[in-house]
Amino acid sequence: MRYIIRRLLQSLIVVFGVSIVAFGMLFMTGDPTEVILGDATDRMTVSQIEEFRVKMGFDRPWYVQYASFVGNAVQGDFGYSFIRHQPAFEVITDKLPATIKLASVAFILSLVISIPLGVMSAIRPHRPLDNIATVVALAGQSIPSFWLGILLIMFFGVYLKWLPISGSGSWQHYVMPGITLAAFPIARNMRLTRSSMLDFMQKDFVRTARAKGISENRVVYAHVLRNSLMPIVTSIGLELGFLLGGSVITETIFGWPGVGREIVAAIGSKDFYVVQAGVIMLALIFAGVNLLIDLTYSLIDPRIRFGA
Amino acid sequence: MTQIDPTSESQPVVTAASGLKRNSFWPRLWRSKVATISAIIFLVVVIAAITAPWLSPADPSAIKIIQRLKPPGFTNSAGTTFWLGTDALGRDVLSRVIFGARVSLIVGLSAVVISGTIGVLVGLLSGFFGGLVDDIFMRICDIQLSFPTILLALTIMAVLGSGLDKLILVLGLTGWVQYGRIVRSQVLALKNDEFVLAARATGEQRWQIIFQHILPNVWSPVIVIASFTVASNIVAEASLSFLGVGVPPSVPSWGTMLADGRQYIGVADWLTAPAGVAISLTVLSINILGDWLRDYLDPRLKNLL
Repeated sequence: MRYIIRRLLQSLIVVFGVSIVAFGMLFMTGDPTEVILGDATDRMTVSQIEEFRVKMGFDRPWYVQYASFVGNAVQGDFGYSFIRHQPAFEVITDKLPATIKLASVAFILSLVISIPLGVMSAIRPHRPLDNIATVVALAGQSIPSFWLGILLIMFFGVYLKWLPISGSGSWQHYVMPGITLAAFPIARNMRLTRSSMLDFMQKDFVRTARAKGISENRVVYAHVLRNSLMPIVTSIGLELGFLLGGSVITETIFGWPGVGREIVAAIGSKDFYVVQAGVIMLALIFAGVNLLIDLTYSLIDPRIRFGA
Repeated sequence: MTQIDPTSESQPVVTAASGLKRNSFWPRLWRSKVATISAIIFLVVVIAAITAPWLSPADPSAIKIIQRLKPPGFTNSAGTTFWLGTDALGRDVLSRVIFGARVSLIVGLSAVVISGTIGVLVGLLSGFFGGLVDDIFMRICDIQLSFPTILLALTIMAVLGSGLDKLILVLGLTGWVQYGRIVRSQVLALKNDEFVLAARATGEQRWQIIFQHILPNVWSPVIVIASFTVASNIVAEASLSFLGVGVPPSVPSWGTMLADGRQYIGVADWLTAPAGVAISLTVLSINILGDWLRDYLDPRLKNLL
């Protein structure tokens, strides 16, 4: 129970931090009025700018502004997008399902591909299959997603014309963005599975299992693999952060109608309330899922609950 | 790239013995073929970056619309050959790739110096003093980890506007957490070791203990993290430039080259490959070197980094 309370408090602090960063964003250049108006200030008179400042409440002390920002945010009010002519919160929530769908596809892809590859590599280490998998994994971790995306578009979209190069709708639309977003986690999880399995192969309980005459398959899958998956399970939270952050690039390349592309577009059009709402939303999802994962662990593994 | 797991704080590794092996650095590097090739690739990139003004056949920013989007091997009327073709503004792609190495390395290395310095200091103080200092630092770590780094950097750059100096600062300030957490866990393990207790007993000042006795023992993981972070910074720079918030469009960067080239897929396919290959090879070679360095300095770090 103490762990759960501590973990909840920690999440509250994180939420507070997220709100400070998102709020502070507008003040980074010194004057939020300038940030919101952007180049439009060139065409406005001083009194018009001042009027806008008062209207938006930017003339108040920062702590009053912060309080009203939090008060509004809690009610889902993140300001109004002058570009989209829609509340910023709605702009983001409209796009959220697309981002979650793509991230889920990438997440499933990353597990379905990486774990079997990692197991195959670990069963026969330093053999051709393992060497190929290791090189592919290293390459997967080094090719930046935006170039991988461009390569896929060139080959499967432009030359072969097998897959649509942008947009969403059918299952085909998921293939290239899904692979692009999943490439890094696939490579990372594969290497994690491999090294963790190799570690466990040396353990006493595995030797005991073999000594008992259990079939090699059972040793590998029931004894070694089950234990080796722990590092992957514990890194799921991190991976989610990667998928949400990576969505910004992947969605931009493939014209995927999600939060990531919306944030980039909003940055381009200086639509800062949308940027703010998008960043807060992604950070809160990330923090929320991490909290859920940690609480689930504490239920499964008593060692965490008792602080061992 | 090898991702560093910031959630792992278990099993701090003490690396007092690593100094003994230093003599065998070059022979050991030479023995690993993959690491040697990576070192050579990285060296080529470094040399290209340093000698860019002499090495590049043309001015990377010289715009000549008349020779726009020419394929690799194109020779203009003045007899200049563009080995990798020209881009949409008629600029030489090869020269831009060479100059792009500069931006990548400057950003990658400078940001590492900033994040490394902050992270090591935070880790040392947090681990050594514990208590409230530790609590505050660790909560700041939590907050920072709750933002996907690229998202945080993107947001800040969006407000500040593009620029090489801003980019370095943003990547430096957002990348210190990994150092902080690892150094802290090492300090926690070291601070009750006999050599530290002995130093205390002789009446040494606390800062002397921290910087003269503990700091030299946490270098191995710091160097390893630094090498991986150079790679991730290069990718981050390219990503942010690709999204239009990194370096200004006029500065030749691998990220902006890919963003420009993307608009001409199917029309001028040669535009994306050079920058893409350059980033991938550079990042791959640094990651392999980082892996090798980790195994060389202390194989026990494998579980941590």
